[in-house]
Amino acid sequence: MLMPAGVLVVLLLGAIAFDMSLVFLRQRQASSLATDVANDLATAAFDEGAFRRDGAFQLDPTRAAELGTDLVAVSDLSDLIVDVEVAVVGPDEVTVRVVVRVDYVFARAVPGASDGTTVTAAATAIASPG
Amino acid sequence: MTARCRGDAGQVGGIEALPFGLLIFVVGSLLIANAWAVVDAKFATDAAARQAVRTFVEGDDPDLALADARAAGLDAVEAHGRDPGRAVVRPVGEATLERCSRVTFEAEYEVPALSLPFIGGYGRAPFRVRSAHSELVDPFRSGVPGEAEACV
Repeated sequence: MLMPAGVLVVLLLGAIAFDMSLVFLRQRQASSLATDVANDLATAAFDEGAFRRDGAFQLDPTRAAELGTDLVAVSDLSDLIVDVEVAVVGPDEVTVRVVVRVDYVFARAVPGASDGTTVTAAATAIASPG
Repeated sequence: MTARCRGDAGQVGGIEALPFGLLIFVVGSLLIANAWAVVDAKFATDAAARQAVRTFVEGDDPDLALADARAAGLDAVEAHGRDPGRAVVRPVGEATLERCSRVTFEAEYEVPALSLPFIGGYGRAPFRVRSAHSELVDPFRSGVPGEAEACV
């Protein structure tokens, strides 16, 4: 009886390792996405009207939110996005937080195991002259 | 005296399940290994697409940016321990180094699929693992054509 049980245990552990690597992959993808969107928004959401009025560099929160949502929607992960938050946290600083769904491959076959999980990644970009 | 291990008296019934279990184990291990190869390749293509697009949007010379981006993408594949000869890094649509233009690069890597007993094929073999990444060319950077007003 030990042999079949051992085989099943090893296969189950392999399946868990695979699903966890998938979670890690999505985490890295979410991190890359958040970083790149924040990097884009740090200049693309520049409030030119305010700059012409008072000469100060300032990001437009409304534009940042719209543009951030658009950029995430056209990304490779768009089908898996659960939530996107874009926050202008300073005149030249923007933070992007994305929540991505991860669908397990093997764990779904295990009774009682969840079908997936979510991963969150956040990134902040600061515009600087140069 | 009676010789030991003669005859099958006392043999455990169902011992033939052992080789079958071993076969299931080998097939399952190969299935997981092949699935892992796809995930591992996805790591490499993600990095390659991201490096390519970053190199392109940070480039100074529009003529060289495309070649530099491709080279950076293939370098990323190689850095992940994969064969760059089996990878393709290319822009999606026309990649133009202009202010505010959206640039998308795609990286593709071919992973051979194992043909396994019981399970058979996975569908279309080999697997083509593909990742895409896009970024905007900085609207306020110097040295590129175009108007920042076009971004609005």
